[in-house]
Amino acid sequence: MTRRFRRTSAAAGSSIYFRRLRGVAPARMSDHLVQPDLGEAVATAYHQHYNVLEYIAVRRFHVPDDDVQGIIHDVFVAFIRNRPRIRDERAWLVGATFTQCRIYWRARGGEPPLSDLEDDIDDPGARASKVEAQAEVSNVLGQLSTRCRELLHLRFIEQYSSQEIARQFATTVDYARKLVHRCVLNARALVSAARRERP
Amino acid sequence: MTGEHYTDEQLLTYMDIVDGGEEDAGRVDVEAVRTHVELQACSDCLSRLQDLRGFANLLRDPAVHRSMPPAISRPYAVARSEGPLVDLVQRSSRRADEDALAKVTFQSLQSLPVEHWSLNIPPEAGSGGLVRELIRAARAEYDQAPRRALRLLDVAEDIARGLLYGDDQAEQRGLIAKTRAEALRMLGKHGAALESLELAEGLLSKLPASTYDLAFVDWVRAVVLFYLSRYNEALPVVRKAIATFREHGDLDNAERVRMIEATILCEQGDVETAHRMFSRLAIFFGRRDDREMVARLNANLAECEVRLDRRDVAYEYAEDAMRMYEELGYATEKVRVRWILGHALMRAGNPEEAVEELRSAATAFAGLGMSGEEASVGLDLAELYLSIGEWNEAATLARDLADRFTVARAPVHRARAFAYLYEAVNSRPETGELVALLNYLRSYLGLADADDEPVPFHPPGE
Repeated sequence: MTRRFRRTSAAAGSSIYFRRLRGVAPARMSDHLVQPDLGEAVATAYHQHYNVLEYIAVRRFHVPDDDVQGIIHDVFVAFIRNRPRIRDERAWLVGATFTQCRIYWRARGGEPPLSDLEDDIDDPGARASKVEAQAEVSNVLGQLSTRCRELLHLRFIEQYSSQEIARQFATTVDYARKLVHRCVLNARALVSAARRERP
Repeated sequence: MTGEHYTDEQLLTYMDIVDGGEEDAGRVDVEAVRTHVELQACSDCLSRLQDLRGFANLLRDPAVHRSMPPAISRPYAVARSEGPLVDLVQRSSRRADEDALAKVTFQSLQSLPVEHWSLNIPPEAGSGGLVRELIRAARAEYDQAPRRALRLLDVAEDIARGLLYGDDQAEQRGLIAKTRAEALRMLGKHGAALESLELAEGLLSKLPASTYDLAFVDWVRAVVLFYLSRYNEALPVVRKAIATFREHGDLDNAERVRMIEATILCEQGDVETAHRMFSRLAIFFGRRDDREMVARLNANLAECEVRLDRRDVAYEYAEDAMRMYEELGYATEKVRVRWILGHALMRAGNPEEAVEELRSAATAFAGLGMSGEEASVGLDLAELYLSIGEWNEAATLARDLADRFTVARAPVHRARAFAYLYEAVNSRPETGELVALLNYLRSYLGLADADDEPVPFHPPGE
């Protein structure tokens, strides 16, 4: 195929140069354009992925609440437009939301917050799974008791040892450890339940 | 331990000690757990341990804790109105309805000449759906019948200019301009193609969240710049498109565009890098069982190998490519591999082997009735003969081809072009002049074959 990409511009006229282009020209979207159930499919995708996209906008990019739904709406408008050529729906929506959030901040003269997930673009499917799992955890943390949330924050973010937590909560090390474990298991059970309920 | 297995709490304690460096308070026998889980590989405990470790990793991410500390907590679930979803469902349904109606309208137009279509489209059928249908038809034809594709796009443009709903006009006119650029490129009108891409970009940029749409515009732009040999400009465009496709999880298109990047690098002389990229792409498309792409990549690798002066390996790649094309039933592509190989050998200074491959390709194209390809291979052969001083061979070849195209009632332009070459070779001009003539003929035949309307032959300078 490189044969058709010869250096001389005169060679650009040879027929091999033209006709062998098919493999590198954008793919045609002939197969799935008629989509009578498109409305239903879009509604399903919206319900299925909204929380993850919202998580990206709010948590990862700190987009103000008032603008979040607008960003996600724009992403879905683009999704409808491009749906015939989208193969991995979730990865596409996650990627489009990342892009829109960056554009949102740049349009306001700011730089988008750096996201540790940007490195994962080598495997967009894995990134989408990761961000989805984070969204789930973030969501269930909101359902835990204040004390549980505080304990998990101290243990996993502030990296308190069980001894330090025990001191903070005026209790024994064993009990502090037990409390943290219960909170972890409770959070995990809530995530599992949320997954079972997901459309 | 409950029965045969450790409880989740025990596994968490084990993690506290082993992963978190906590003091062993004797609540769990660390060595016993390690032996049971990691050495005896109890699948149940191991799976739960891995799951808990993964969950703990998620909890170590500050973003998931944004609601902490409680004093500043806010749930991330922002109040959500149903209005946007209703709007999206309405948009989708309208689009689906339009597309269904457009199929019927398009079918009914088929019996009329394209020139009459605009006047015969009922007002209620002039929708975005019909524009999309016309664009699809144009895309199906632009490489074989670019002028007809342009006429279809003119009809689409007439309709698109009347669209009033939301972003319909910008979207459809943007797509028309992009497709128009592809047809113009086929006609060798690269400047006009680039202008059309500018227009497409301007229109599509107006759409909400248009980054992905614009990557397709960049794809076409990169191809046009490539044809203009403007490699330094094409490379950043290609790389931007790849990044956008990857960002959107569209690895297939990202890797298709990467093939252009590799080809550019090959043309720029970085054959080793191009070779590595083609090899990786062959693995990628092999995993997807896309045998056509793998065959094409093997042909590219064959050319790289010739450039790297490893002809034996080149033949192996070429054989692989031809075998795959044969299995796929693509007889013409198989012959094309031979042509690619012959051309590469010619460029690499291996005239004898090149003659063999090119002759074989020319015969095969003639057998398949592909006179355009036969003519182009003929030009390569003529150039090859002239480069090794075989003037008589070149003249005979030109005369034979002129005769063949005349007898075969092929489009007159080919016979005239080869007759002109025959005369030129017989007059024994300077080599530089002949090379310029061959390039001129290549360019002319390429454009004339790509055009779906006759393009008369004019000798250079006329």
